[in-house]
Amino acid sequence: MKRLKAGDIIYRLFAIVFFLIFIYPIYFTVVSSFKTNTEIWNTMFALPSKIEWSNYTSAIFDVGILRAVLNSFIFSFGACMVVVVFVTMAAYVAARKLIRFSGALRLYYLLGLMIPPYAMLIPIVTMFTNFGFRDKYWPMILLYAAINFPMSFYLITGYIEGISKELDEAAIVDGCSTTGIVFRIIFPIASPGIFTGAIISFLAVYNELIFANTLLTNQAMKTISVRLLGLQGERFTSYGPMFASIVLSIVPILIIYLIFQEKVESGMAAGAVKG
Amino acid sequence: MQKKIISVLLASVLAVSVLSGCGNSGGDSKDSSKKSEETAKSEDGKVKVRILTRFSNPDSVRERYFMDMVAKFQEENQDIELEDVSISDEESHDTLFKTSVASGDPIEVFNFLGYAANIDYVKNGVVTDISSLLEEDPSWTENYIDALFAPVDYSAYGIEGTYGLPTSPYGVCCFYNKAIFDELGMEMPETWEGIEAAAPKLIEAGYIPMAFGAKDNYRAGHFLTALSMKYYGDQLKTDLIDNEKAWNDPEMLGLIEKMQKWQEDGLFGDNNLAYDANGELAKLENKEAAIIFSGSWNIATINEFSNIDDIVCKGFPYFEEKPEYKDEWMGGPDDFMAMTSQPGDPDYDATVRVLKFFTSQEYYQGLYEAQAGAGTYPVTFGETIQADALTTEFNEYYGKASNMIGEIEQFSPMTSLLDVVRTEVTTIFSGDKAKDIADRIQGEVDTYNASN
Repeated sequence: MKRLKAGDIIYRLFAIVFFLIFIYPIYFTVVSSFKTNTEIWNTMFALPSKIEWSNYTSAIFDVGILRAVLNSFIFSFGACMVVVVFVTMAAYVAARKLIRFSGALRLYYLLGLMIPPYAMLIPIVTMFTNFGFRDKYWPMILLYAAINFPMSFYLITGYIEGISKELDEAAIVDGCSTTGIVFRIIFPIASPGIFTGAIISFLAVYNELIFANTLLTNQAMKTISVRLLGLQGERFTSYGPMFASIVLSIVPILIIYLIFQEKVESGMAAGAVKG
Repeated sequence: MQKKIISVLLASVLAVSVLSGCGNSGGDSKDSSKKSEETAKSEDGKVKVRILTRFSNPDSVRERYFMDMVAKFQEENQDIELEDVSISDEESHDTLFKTSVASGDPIEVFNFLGYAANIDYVKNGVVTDISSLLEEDPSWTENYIDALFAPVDYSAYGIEGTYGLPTSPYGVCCFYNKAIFDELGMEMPETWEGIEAAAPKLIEAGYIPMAFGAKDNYRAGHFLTALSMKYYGDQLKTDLIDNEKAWNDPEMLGLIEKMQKWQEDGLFGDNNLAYDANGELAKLENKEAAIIFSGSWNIATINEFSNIDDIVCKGFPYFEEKPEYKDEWMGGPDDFMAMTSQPGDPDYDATVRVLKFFTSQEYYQGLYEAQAGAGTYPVTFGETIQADALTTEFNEYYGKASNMIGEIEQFSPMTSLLDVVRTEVTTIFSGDKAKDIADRIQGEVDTYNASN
């Protein structure tokens, strides 16, 4: 049997500790989704004495969490797609300085990053009301894409800058157009960075509350975060259905993460060894 | 250099665009709340009316009833598209309403909090005076309890009219787990002196004398007002609001010191910041807490307890040394249903119909039946339902109340005072000293007074 070194023991000990720290909220959420309010408070860590399926029926039929999950997914996925396509193109232009004012363009997006979007809540609400954009998918998708544009822009621009220009030149020699270079040459190489930007945008939209609460007032358009808040009563919170709703709402996120796990992790690690 | 000039120009353009967007209204608030025909109509030509309450939890009987009534209204009024935009979370509710007002499209029927703290909405013409509507249709409010309209009567500030209809009267009270007291052979104490005397025995037996879920900061605010009513009646409230007394004067400081002492003596148990009002209920049901300080709004929830026969409702404890204030209560009207549409607006008539529906005698009769007589109502009923034991006990105390006020801070035009007091007093549970807390509250009040 292989003998463990002291370093390995410490390493594994830390791994176990961190595993427990990160698994705890998931365990607590799943277990609580099968308990009554009182049982959640009385026996926080224990398994439920009786499985409360009613929390799930309440989450699905009374709260309408599945529709909310679908809405959140549409907004997140839509915004994510817009961000990926347009940011990649803009980032390529800025990284390769293809236009005269690419430096100014970067500064402009930097301002977009520095000004909190909620500072513009009232003008945005006014605009949505005046143009009849409220409770509609496309305007919300574009709004969310715009909010997440600057962050992804900086992330992807930095990544593209690390890709050799000679690849572009070789593609030009082979007769590739600029659009072709962006999507056939740069996109696959920069995909870890692009996927990271996409995932960050996806999660930001999936968890967004304030714009969703103010611009989506139709019951059928509500998102997960607004629906979950609805369970927090004026002076009484329904924790059981709330945890059941949370379990149902994290499923799409888990699926997305599992599908793109490799891309995300490589994207996150990509900058670490640069230089 | 060129780069710097460009960046300065860009920053200026962005700043101007943001600021110009924020400065939306060209005129006063009344103008901004005027609606066009287009915004008042839905896509299929119906008049669109939105209703904003804090009833969005389908798990609560009261909130579920409201949702059912929205569906009923929609079924009976095909010419109106009623959109329920309710959200129970206080901050989200307030953001939604404030944003709608600021963007010039105020939500038509909404949950108004009344009192001096919200006088600006009335002054700026956001909330509609409904007194002429009430005069036109006296049968609408003939069964309402008149005293409940006081927080939406701003005549003391030179503003005539009525700005809403009370919806949720309440009273703070205490719930006791009688089984604990029986087990220890003790009487259930109804005075603070009695609770102080009983506390060591309860603690020794492993019980929390009075659970206090400080994670909800409104608990501290409610407690302080209820305590002040039992010690000073409403005089301290009047003196504080009129700036005759300061929050760090001996009267209020003494009350905060009492809370601090009880906390240090273990009367409220420990780890109070780790649980909220739901946790208090769980501790009562689970026989961990002998008493919880709560309110009439929890009667329906407690009625679902597995050990409901052990639970007894009593008034908030009074002081033996102050028997004259025994029946002074914290309670009364809490929320009001109000409207923003003005006569002449295209959605005015539809809005009035919505307001009348959700504040009608029929609405409350249905709620009364849905809750099987439990809870408190702004109207009186011809035929009373034999209510559950807790409601009956509560009403016994509630009926004796000689005076009733809402939370002290609600009477101040300083809107932020409610949150300041609640948050500051809650810091008792993280070890802050009463004097520091009182000084900080008064500091905020002084700053407000200096700028107003």
